[in-house]
Amino acid sequence: MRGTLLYIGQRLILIAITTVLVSSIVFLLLHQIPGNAFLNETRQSEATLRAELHHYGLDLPLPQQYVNWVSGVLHGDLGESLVNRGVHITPLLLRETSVSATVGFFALIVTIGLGLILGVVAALRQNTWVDYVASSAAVVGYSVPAFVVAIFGLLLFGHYLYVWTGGTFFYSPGWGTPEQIPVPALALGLPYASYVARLTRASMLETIRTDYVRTAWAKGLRPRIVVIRHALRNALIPVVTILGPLITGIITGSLVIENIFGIPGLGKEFVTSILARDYNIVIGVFTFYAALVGLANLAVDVIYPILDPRIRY
Amino acid sequence: MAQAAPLAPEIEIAYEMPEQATLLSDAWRRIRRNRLALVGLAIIVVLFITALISIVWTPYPTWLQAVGPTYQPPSGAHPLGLDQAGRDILSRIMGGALITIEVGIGSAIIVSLIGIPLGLIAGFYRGTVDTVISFVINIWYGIPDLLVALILVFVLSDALHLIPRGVVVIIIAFSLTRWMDVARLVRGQSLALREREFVEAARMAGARDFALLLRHIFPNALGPIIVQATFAIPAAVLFEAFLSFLGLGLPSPTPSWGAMAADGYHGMDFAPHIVLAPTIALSLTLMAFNWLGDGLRDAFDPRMRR
Amino acid sequence: MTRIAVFRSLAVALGTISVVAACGGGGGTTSENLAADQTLSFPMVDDVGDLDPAHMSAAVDIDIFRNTYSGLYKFDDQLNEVADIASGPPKISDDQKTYTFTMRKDAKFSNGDGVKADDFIFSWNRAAAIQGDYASVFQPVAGYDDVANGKATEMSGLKKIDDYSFSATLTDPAGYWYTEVALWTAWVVDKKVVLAAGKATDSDWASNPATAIGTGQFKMTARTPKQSVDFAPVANWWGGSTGTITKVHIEIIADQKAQLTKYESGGYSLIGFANQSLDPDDVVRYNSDPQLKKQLQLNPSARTTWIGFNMCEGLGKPSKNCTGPNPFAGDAGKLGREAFSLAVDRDQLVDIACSKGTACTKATGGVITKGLKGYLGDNTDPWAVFDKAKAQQLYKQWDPDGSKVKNLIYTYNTSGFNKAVCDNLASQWQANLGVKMQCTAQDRASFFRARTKCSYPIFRHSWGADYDHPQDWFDFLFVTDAGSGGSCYSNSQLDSMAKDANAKPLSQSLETYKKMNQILVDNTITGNLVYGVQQYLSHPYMKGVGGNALYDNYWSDVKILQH
Repeated sequence: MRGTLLYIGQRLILIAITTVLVSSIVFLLLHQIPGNAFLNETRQSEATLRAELHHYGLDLPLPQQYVNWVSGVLHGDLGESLVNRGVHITPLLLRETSVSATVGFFALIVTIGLGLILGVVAALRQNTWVDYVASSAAVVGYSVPAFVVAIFGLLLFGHYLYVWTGGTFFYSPGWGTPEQIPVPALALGLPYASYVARLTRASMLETIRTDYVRTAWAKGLRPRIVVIRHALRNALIPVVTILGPLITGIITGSLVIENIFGIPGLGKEFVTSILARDYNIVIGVFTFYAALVGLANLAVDVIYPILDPRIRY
Repeated sequence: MAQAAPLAPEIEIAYEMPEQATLLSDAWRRIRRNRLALVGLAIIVVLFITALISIVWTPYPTWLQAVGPTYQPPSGAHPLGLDQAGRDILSRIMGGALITIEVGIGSAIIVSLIGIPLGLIAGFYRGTVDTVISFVINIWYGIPDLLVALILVFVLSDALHLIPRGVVVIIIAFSLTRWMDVARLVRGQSLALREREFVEAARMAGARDFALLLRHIFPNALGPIIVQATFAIPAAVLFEAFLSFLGLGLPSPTPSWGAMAADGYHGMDFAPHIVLAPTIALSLTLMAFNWLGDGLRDAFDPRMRR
Repeated sequence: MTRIAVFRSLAVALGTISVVAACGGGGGTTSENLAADQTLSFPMVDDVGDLDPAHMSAAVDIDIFRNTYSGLYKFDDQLNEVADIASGPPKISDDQKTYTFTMRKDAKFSNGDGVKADDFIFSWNRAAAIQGDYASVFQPVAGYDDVANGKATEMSGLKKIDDYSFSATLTDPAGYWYTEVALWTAWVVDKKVVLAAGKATDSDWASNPATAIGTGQFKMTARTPKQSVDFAPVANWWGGSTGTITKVHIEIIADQKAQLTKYESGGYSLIGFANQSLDPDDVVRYNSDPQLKKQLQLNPSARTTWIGFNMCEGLGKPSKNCTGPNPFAGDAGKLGREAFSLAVDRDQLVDIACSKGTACTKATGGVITKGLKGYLGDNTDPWAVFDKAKAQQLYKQWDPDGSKVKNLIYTYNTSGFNKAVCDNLASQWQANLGVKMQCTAQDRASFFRARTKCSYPIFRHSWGADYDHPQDWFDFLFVTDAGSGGSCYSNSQLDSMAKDANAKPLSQSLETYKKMNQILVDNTITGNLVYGVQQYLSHPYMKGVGGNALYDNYWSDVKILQH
């Protein structure tokens, strides 16, 4: 137990270092950009500009700004928005992360659930038309771009469903009600389901042919029990190995999905801030993402030995 | 009576020489049997032809507005209809094919140019070189690539004005964030291949490192490299489409399919043809490259010899 | 006391009349069935930028917060300047330099504090010190420069007379200053509350609903940054009725399509308040359907968009910002400017870029928007017509070998509308003149910075009037070294006409301003394209939704009927 805690502690420190390192790159990159975000069409006097720069500490020399920023990050303070005065970034991003995490969590369920089902079905009915269709569906799943899935999703669930049900049930983009979770989660999780499906299929195929499964079959156990108890559990293991990249992929994919479905999460904030030249928030979002990816991978590494007792660190 | 040694029966022994099985001919034979891959290949060929034609001719100029009433659905004169500015969609789809190829192939090439040398030397020399390169690869993997790529495009084009908005900056941004896939693959190949006998033999014959890498290791890693490059193409096209959708892509009025989808997205309810045409074109192209990549991967995989 | 009572009843009468007028002019509005839930809700694509009146500059912010803050004067729904907290128009001295303001004694902040002259003087001095984008409203006041430069904290020209009156002395006569005094920078804030929250120049008090205290009909009750803002009417408002709305809920939804979907399902009362617009495709859809069209209002909005031509003729000529010659500059460039302007079919532009005329309309009467003072009249701009043959002829004369337009780039700040306009201009210039032009988008900050330095040979320019007075246009756009010009245009005749007109009250100077506008038209200094349109989409059960060229209707004008 102490060993695990020590390991987790080490990893957390590593994550903190990587996060600061990686976001430092973005910080320095963005601060090279000449000028600032403050000009307005109508009037701007030198004094106003100076006051704004001073308020945000942008008139300090760069090394000083960097040190201030790093110490801020380590205290959890990511600064103030350049575009919306008075809006503090850390609470804003925390709120938006919970939104993204909700969608991401359900997307993960879609990915793993759908992927497992497709993979198992394809493996059990190997080389039949079922296999063929399931595999092709998987390929289609990750070939079709996210916003295509989103567009069709919107058309289907927003427009046509509204028409077919006479306006009683439909999906409307935005955020705030539970009904607004399934469609984006589906659009986000679908492309990655195909990876899970492939892996599951391959792994299931291997496991089915192993001796102990054959033995169980020979002993007369019903196929379904065999599948569920023996093959599936072992087939899950390779899926867990890709859980890390899967979560990273979902985090990245949320960038696209949130922008299309109007979900006020991290991805949406990132794009809005880049387009609005709100560099403070851009750096903040980046920091959050780097930390999130690190934490997600850590979580996977911690859960892994629980699922597969053979693994020891 | 002593008989002569029994004559071999008068049967012509037809000794069948196995066909010279080079990597490529073997792969081609296997691909031919993979129907999905063939369909993909056919689509890609159509894509290329369309792109080439669009260089010299399109039914209407891709930039010309008000050719007819805006939002007009498909009709005889305009088989794919007109968009929200009255431009002919068929012409723009053709122009978009060219863009897709430029972005896709260009990215695949640059990604390979970066990843192959790095992977080769990492796997071949091992030691410190490998540790450093592998460390960089792992760090890079820990970052959501889309974010970095977005920031890169923004910084290079809009903020620093180093490279104007266009295909070049997109290729650069994509390649700088996705080279690790190729590098890691080539590194694995390089690690494995350096132990093989033919490399040993060549080394004992006095071949220098560079020659070893170039003439022995690299050609044998070619199969998986081609597969990886083929998969890089749809990833790059997707990247460009998303950028254009956000407005960070190619400058107006370039007929990039992603930009066309962005334009038509808002009119989805009453003029779906505007968003459907580029969306379907994109989907078909991406599926085609993925199917081809899958087929190539199966074809080059020695374990799948049947 | 009697005078106060008279003024008060006048104000109430004016208020009632405007409320009745806003409700459609019919009589007996009190007999309509009001819905039980009088919550006004609408979306915005971005959060408010500044909540402190001294900082405010965006139309979005102003449209919202003119419901929570007010000042001596305001503009009624017909854009007439009327007294708000002031008890009447100012007394102006004979030399046109001293304005004496007298206030009502019953005006109160939303926390119950009475409004005193001290509060006004404090608010105006702090606005000058903070140097927000519109601090220049106080520039004519004596002592402004010292405060603006940080050398002083109070403008010497402001003097308190007693608790309910004060005077302002200008350095020079300025006929337009009476209009400027009704702008948001001159709104009054509660001195006690601001100082209790921090320094006079701090703004944190304005973001916190508990301390964002103003004199308007509504007060902010809740705020979640980038998500929503809520308001509620002020109980026992000093000015009388606050209307029937009991709550205002504003949501920030960046995607216009998502906004519309929620509106259609009844989630929003309207879309369009706070300078918002609809997605171009959706507007077209609504405008072409006879049933849906009834929910749509298209009001002229005080904004003109035009083709900007760079008038720099050489290094330092005519403006110090000029770095070199430009093809469109001066007399040599006149033919080019005319050709480019004549080659644009504005009907096609309006059809495509203005969503079939729902987002903007043709600009045929000069650079000042139709409906504002200084407008020259419909179809008075001979260069704002489409004449392909003449354009080609002029172009051939001006640039026979195409060298002047080689690598021509038209720059604009990133926005869907600007992109649509540029794409269409490029298409028309290529089709009609054979000129290949590239459209380039820049972010706002870089664009404005570069444009002010006259870096672009041809560019997008647009101006939304801040107030209905031609001075707002000429002083910032067309006099020599104008702050927001972008073309480095310099005409000494125009400059002296401006100086002359600015000093006089509008009734005397309007003709001069119109002549100045005519000079711009005659010389094709701007290629006028379109005038703005403000869209309002509201359900049939919403009454009182709309606005004038500059502002939305007050929230107190709005009623929600049973549905």
